Amino acid sequence: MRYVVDASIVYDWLIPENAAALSRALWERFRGAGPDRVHAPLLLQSEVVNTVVRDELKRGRPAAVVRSLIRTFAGYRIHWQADPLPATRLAELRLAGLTGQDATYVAFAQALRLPLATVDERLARVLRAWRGGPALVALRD
Amino acid sequence: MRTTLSAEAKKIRTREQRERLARETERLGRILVRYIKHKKTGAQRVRESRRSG
Repeated sequence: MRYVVDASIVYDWLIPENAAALSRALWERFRGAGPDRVHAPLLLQSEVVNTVVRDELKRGRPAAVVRSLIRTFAGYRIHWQADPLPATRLAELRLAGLTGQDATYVAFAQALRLPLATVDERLARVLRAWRGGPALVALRD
Repeated sequence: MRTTLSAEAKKIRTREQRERLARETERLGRILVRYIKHKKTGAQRVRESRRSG
């Protein structure tokens, strides 16, 4: 399966203590030599690093542990965005009410014509109600 | 006289018990709030970090 991930999924992969069911299921398919091909915009790197560093330091984790988590993240086999996203598309998504970050994930998934995996309920709700958006990766029954 | 003392002691015990229960409830409430805060989802943590930079 090929899909785009957002930071909510990758954060769950890295710190799975309270991970959503979809994140856990996708991790089983992605880890090691899993069959999934995962794509992400460059924004994901900033978001994951920023959230992990901020939260783990706040929770009293030593800097060495935080660095180790970031090294683990850096080793993930993610296919990173190679080309800039069309600014006009980003603007349209912002005008439609998405945040700048959500617009980036949606525009990237649309550019690659791939479904988007997210466990961010707010974004998922918007995409479910919007016919023109990318499909959402869901758990199979 | 004896009955009065006993009744008074019972009342104090009851008040002490009530106060202890209130303290314990408050303590458990604080633990619960801390637990709930700690149990934020990944999505919530990402959104928070976006807001606070």
